Amino acid sequence: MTPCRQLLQQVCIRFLTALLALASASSINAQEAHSQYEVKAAYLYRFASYVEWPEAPALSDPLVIGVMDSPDMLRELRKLQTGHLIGQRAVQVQEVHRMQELGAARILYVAAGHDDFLGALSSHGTTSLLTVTDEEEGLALGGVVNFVMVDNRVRFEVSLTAAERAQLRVSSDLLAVAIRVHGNRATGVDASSTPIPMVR
Amino acid sequence: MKSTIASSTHTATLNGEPPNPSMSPDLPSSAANPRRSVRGKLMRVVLITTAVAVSASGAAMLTYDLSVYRTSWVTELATQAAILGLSVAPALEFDDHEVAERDLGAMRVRRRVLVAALYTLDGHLYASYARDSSVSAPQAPPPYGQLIAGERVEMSAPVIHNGERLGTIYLRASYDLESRLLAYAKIFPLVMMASLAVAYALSRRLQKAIVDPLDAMTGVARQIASGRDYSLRASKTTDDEIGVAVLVFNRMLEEIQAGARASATANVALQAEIQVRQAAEAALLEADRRKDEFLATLAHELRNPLAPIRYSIKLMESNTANEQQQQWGRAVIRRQLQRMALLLDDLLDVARITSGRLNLRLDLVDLRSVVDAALEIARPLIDAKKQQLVVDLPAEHLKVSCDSLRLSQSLSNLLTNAAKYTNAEGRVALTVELTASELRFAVKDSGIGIEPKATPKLFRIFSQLDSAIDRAEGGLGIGLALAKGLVELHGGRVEVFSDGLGLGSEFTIVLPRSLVVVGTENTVLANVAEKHNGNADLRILLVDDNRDAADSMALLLKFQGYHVIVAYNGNDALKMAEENSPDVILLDIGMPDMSGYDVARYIRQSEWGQTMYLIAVTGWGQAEDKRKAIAVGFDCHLTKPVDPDHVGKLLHDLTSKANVP
Repeated sequence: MTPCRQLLQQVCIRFLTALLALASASSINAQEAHSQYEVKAAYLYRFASYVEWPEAPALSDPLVIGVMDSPDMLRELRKLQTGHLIGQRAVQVQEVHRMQELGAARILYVAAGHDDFLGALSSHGTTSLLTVTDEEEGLALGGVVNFVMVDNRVRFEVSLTAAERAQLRVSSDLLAVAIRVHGNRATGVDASSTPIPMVR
Repeated sequence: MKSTIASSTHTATLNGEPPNPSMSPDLPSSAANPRRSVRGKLMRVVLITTAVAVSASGAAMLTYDLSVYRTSWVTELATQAAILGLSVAPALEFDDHEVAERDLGAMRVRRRVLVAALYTLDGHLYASYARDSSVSAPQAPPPYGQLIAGERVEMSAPVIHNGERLGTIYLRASYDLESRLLAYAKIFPLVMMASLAVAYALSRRLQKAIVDPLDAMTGVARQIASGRDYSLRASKTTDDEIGVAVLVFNRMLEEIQAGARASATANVALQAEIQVRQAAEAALLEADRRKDEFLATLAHELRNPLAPIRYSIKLMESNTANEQQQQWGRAVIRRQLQRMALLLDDLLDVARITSGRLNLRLDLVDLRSVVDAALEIARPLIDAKKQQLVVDLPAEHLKVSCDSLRLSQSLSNLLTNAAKYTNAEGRVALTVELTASELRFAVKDSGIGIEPKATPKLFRIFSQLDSAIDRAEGGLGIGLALAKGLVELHGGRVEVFSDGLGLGSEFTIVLPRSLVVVGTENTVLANVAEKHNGNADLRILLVDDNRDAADSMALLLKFQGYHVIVAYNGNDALKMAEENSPDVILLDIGMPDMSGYDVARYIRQSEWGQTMYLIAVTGWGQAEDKRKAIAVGFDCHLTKPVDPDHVGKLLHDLTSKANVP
């Protein structure tokens, strides 16, 4: 084997390796963007079992999840909706554009960039609604639960202040897995980002 | 509980035979070897039983405990898994790896939990906890359920939230059987030792009920074996089998004791019999020896007179002998014949006494006549040895109920004996005295005396103290025995006393006082005396069918001065007696026409025959004959051949006695 051929062979192998690595990285990014909403949709469903609403709806009524301005989320929720029960209740997903369209929704997902809507929602004093935001200052804007991305993973934070305002009761199990919990159950003081210590 | 030994009759058991412990060695002592004793065996049984029981129950307890332990541990682990599953459910639901790890890490407080692991639904290991580096969680979730493998317990369960299965929780724990067993191994010896100690103490107390009665019985048996004292008894303290054994044991002892007693009694009786037989045998040998000696002496004594008689006859047959020499020869023959007759009489008497056939002819006679007759016999010897004779009689007139012939014979034997064993010119004293209870004839001499130890032998028949002296003095050595026998027939006794050799001796005839009558007289004798008043002029009728005997006797009596008439048969005798009224009739018994008995009976029945003195003369000298003679009325009995001198003396006595005031 001649040194010239050897060199050529090495260059070829390196090139191919770099090409492969590039291809795989781009595919992971696309997959991540796609699966981010899939995970968030699953979380939305799961939140329901950790939250108590003030008035218990009849078992025959479906649990209504509203989605504001997020076709991705709408699509993922609808994917899970078929045959999916929360507790013993069926799930109904509906698109929301205005406050008047909230109807019987118990959970409302608000995509990023709807600060006004959230402000209106807060001022309106709507109760029995689990507001889930998906932006940096979601909790400050009035969200009870706010999705955040940590290390490319979907995590969430909980505002007990907001939950109390909406007369919702959040299970400590949910608080345990939240990355941050704002507010305090007893005092209701906002903006305190004290992590709840492990009790178990 | 008391273990006593009842000793009922501790003495009076085996007579004569001392206990001989060497014959039967002592029973083995169980105390020396406790393993052999009942106590030891019972204790072993109890201890072994206890040990086995404790071991068995310990094993059962251990098995049960392990099974309970396992069940509870498995249950606990399952509970743990369920709780853990609940707590990690949100972490799994919201994909919170740290919280899951933290939750599993909480298993650190459970020391026995080695591994805890959480798996996602699609089978990936999501979070895990390992107690140390030596263990790790399996990469794939194990199937649901529990697994017990040696020291390990594994538990796998689903994580469920809201009816939705989220993943798998897995726990692995050490079973920790070893430490459990170790704890048992520590506790078990303690429990065993405590159990054995309690069993030992309890058994010692309870055993008393069994062992103490046994010990008591064994103790008794041992004592009996060593001491042969069958009177010991074990005390019965219980009603169980041991009590029965004690009862039977005691009964057996009673039987043995009775047997021992019987055999001891038999033994004593046997020994006594043996002694008696030995004594009898010795006596027989002695008697045999004495008989031989006696026969030799007898032959000698019978032979002695023959030589002088033979010489005298030769002398008388020779023509050269003059009258004086012939007279001397006759005197020699007479003396020797007398001596032989005396010898044979003594011999016969001894034989009769010995065989118990001599009967006394009791009569009330004058004491003096008895003494005189005895003195008369002994006097020739005393005179010959020039000895001094002293006689001391009681002053009062005494009559003695006795056989005068035999009594005087006894007395003369003593006197002759005294003279014989006293040196020439010695002293012989006869003292008769009547005491309150006795009549004593004491013959005291100054002779050779007697050794005290020899006195018992003196009165034996054929016994002579010193054969050398005896040879010199002559005699058969039966004098004292004869005297003793005769006196004893009278109900009296003969005593002997001596101060020792060379100091003289004293022989005493002792008669009971009851035989003595003071101051009365025989009617016949009184009659004879009255009629003849001291005169020897008696009329005598002599009756005998043997004419020679009758005539010769008549001649002899006539020489002595008596009036004698003779009849040769019974009828003549009766006729002559009636016609002549003789004072004395000498009557032969065996006559052809009528017996002397009939004649005497007839005479006594006659009016004229009441006072006559009747003398029976017979060849039969048996006691029965004499008794018969006395019964038909004879006053006296003479045995043929009759010595004329004897008759003369008898007649003389009759007159002299009658003359005593």
